[in-house]
Amino acid sequence: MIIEAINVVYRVPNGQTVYEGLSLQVRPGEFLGILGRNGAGKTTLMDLLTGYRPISGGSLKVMGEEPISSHRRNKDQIFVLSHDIQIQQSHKVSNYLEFTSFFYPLYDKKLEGELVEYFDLDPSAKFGSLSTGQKVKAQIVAAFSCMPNLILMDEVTAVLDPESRKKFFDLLRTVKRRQECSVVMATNIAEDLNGIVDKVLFIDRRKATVHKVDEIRHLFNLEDAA
Amino acid sequence: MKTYLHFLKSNLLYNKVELSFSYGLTGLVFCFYFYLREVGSEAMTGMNFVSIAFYALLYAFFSNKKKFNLKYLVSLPMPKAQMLMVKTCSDIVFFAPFICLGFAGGILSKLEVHPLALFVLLVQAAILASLVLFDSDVEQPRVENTKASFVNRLVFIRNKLDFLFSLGIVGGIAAVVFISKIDEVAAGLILVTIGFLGIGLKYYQSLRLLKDESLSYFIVKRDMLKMGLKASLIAAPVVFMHLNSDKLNSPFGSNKVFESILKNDLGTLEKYVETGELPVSKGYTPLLVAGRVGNVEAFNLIYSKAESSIDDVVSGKKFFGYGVAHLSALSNNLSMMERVLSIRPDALDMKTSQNKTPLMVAASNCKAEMVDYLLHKGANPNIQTAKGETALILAAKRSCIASTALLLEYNANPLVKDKKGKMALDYFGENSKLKYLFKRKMPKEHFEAKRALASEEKL
Repeated sequence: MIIEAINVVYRVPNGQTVYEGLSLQVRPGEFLGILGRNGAGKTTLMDLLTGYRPISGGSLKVMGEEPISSHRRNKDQIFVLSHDIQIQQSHKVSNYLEFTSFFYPLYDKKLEGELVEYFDLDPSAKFGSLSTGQKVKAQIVAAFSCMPNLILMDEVTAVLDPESRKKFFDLLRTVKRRQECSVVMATNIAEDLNGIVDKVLFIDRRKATVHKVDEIRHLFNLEDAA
Repeated sequence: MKTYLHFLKSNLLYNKVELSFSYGLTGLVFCFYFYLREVGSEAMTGMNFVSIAFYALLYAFFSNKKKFNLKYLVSLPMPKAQMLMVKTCSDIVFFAPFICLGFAGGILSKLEVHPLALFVLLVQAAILASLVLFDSDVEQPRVENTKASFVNRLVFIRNKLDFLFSLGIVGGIAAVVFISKIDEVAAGLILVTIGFLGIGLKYYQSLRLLKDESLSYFIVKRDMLKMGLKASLIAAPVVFMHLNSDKLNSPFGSNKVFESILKNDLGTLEKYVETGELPVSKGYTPLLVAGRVGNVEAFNLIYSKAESSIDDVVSGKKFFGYGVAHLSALSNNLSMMERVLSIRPDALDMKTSQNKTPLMVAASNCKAEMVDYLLHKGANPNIQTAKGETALILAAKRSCIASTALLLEYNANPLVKDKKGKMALDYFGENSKLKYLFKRKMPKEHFEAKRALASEEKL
């Protein structure tokens, strides 16, 4: 199992309870979408899976290890892609890719070159001169070049232009077809998940439930709105 | 090690502009020092270096921020413990100017710590500063995302108290080490060991903070108790020192006989003298105490009725070997000195085991009136201590201008060198305002030879 969560509880110390009894399973090669209203806890779930925050109760395992543990061995098979990650402004795209590649033994330099071209990125450009979308594209290049078994994506599609979004989803479809890795993708754009993910985790009022992709429209009362 | 070198390399390569700026400034400071090294004393230059090092530390604090945010670092495939270690140790490149300037400052100020220990201590300080920075990187995003409430804001007070507590412990230990005047190698070893313990403790705390989110919040039950305990531990020594300031400030301890001497309570003193109950505390006899505080009446009472010897010397740690004449010089009470000399005229040049005379004691403590009196009485100004220091050198070392002027007036020899090969003027600095006084007493050839040497060096 890539991800296994059993009755996970997360409470912000001195704050509100974000989840109660969250259970979830992600198998190898499976794509999971995470949906929820603003402030429901999508990014917080990503933080729990990354090991940035500890769970308050239950059990959470990613690649067979507790994310908060200090001695994880399988972390080089996971890549975290987030709109929240900031890279120093003076770093060039090539600097960032080189720094990241050091940590991933399966890093594919050839693929990196192809993806840089595919996403039309300038490797000599500094992060300070890039738009938010271009910064995310640099992270996407790193994510797929690392050849991980699991990619955690947090709100990355919203900042991409239509052409780059199409390229990104085409790439995701190729990866899914080859069953190269599992993907967990948190997003606010429900349509992004159509035809991409195998199931959806919907977080609402401390509860998280797993749904089929075709149930997305019911989750947000989109039919009534239409 | 490989990961550490990777971080170190990335810090050096990807922060070229910032580092060039700070390293360049440090280089300029050193260039200025070598260009202007004749100006002022070394101790003053040392203090200037220490001040600049403080600014370098501040610069490192502000420039060493937001290279990669914590989320990125946590997501990297390496254990948190290793990430914390390599990140904080590789950030040392930002603190290099602080280490260099602090080291130069420490050496020039003649700190009583071994140079190697001083260097290690500065590196330790840089690593500690880096760990403190890391903690703020962990805490800031957590605290920013919490609901603004009174309880959550208490974290700020708790952190400040923690910082004060740590600073108090470090300062206390360093003070004890310096006050106890142990050998500089031993002092260095103790401080470096404590430094490593401090880093270990801070590292453990930072790691806990990284794993335990609740530590970034104020948990009333847990933190009130801890804060109370720490506040008490900070307050207790302060209150104790305040309540016992008299006893603590007294170099000879406290008992009823000594108190009666200090308060000039001759009635009480007489009772003790008659019963013969005269205590010795911290190596001081009552007669020595009377001499130290300059109480002539108490001195006469003890000397006439008790079996106290004028040859008593301090056997305690502070002022070891000082006789009543040395202590009278320290008291700066001329009548006291007059009385001692009336009993023992040869006490004028009485020497301790280190060859220190009452004149040297007065000169090195800037007691100009006493220096004048002793010189007038015929004290020899050219006696040297075991370290080769004369009264003039001791006065110059402490920048006692009036005493220096008086000693020169009474023909103290300005050409005598101590065992470090330095004369009194060397301790004042070449451009000292007192140079004229020295010039009057020193042969012309000395200055001419020095000037010739300086111009040769320039060529």
